[in-house]
Amino acid sequence: MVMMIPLRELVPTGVLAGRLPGNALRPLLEDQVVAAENGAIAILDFTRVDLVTASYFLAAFEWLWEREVCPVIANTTPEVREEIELALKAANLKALFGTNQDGHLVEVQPFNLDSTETATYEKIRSLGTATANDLYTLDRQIQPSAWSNRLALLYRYRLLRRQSMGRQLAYSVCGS
Amino acid sequence: MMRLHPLDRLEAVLRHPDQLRAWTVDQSDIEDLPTAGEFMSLRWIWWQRHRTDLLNEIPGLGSLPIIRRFQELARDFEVLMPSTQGRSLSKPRTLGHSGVYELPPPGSAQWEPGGSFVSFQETFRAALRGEGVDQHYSDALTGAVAEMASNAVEHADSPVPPIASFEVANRAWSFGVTDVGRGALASIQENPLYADLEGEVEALELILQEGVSRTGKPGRGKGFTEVFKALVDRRAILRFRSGGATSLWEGESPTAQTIHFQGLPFRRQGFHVRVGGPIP
Repeated sequence: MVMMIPLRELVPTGVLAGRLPGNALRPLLEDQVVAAENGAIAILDFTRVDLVTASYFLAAFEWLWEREVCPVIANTTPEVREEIELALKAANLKALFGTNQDGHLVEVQPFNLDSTETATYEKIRSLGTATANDLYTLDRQIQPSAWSNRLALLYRYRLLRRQSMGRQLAYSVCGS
Repeated sequence: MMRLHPLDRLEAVLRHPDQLRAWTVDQSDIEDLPTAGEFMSLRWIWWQRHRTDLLNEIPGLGSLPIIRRFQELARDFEVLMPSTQGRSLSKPRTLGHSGVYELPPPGSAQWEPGGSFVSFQETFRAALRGEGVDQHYSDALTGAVAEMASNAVEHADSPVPPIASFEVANRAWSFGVTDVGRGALASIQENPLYADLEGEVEALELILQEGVSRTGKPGRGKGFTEVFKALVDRRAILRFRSGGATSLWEGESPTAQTIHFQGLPFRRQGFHVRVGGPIP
């Protein structure tokens, strides 16, 4: 399920600043997220948002990373993205940035990953859907349990979705 | 000799009326006056606390040149708050190019997207745009006033609501947020790292550092970042006062900025930030 959150339809200003206004936005988003199924992709569409501060962003959105959804930050200006990146780093959050074109996500890129995490993410992206055993088949220098840990970590970062396939867990990238 | 900001000198005089006759105003004070918004914020908070008009506190105060200048600057607010007495500021009072607003408490519906705070914020932005300030800078300043306002309500623990104000006139802009709460020192002492901190100047220095907050949580204490950005390269001046400490921050470019801290000869309750600059 893809959940579109066009922020400018919720907020009558392009300047999103201050922790208290950010806190006040949260209940409006929670209603939508609670209604969504686990593993849903939440596209935070920043179209026509001119400025967002780190404190606003964290107050309004940080809780999303604690839920079973994949937040994707879309359609930011370079300045807005820069400030969001500062907020994500400060809170040690990983995230996906992308472009929302008529409801389709393109140019999705992970942010704030180390080289190992990035490599794992790119393997899943290239495979579409994969289990730890699938990755072990491709690269036997890393044991299945290690692949499993890496995948679970990316899932906890809310960068991957997962579903049960028999006794295994299959992972795919959010926004694919 | 310590050079005091006009508003701090006013405070000193209010505390020591016998100095009133000796109080002189030099030209640099006139050029460096706080705006009407700052003065009216102080006047409003004074009324909230004492139920008297600040201008009536000391005979002759209203006739001082510096106060007359305050009054001239404040004429719009005189329209907005004819006597300041008995009037509520819980809804923003604005005249297009100036406004003053009593900030709502945390959790109030007024912080929500359709609430009166956004209305106040947008009026400031419209005033800036109306005077020809470019969108990028208008956005940065609007974001800065929202950050400062939110900080005041969150951290001040003030017995009366903080006040936010702005003014865009005479090819200049300014905004201010004033509270009469506990100030930076008591606030930052809630963070165990700074529980033993004793100096108000040191506390002010700390809270102006990015990432330092009373909560100590990751991602907190970043509210001033926006003010820094708004300042860069635009000849803006930031003034902070907390308790008995003050600082003045000026900049001409991202790499040419100075920040000067000093202790005051008196202590005033609460925290005040005022940011102002020319319209290019």
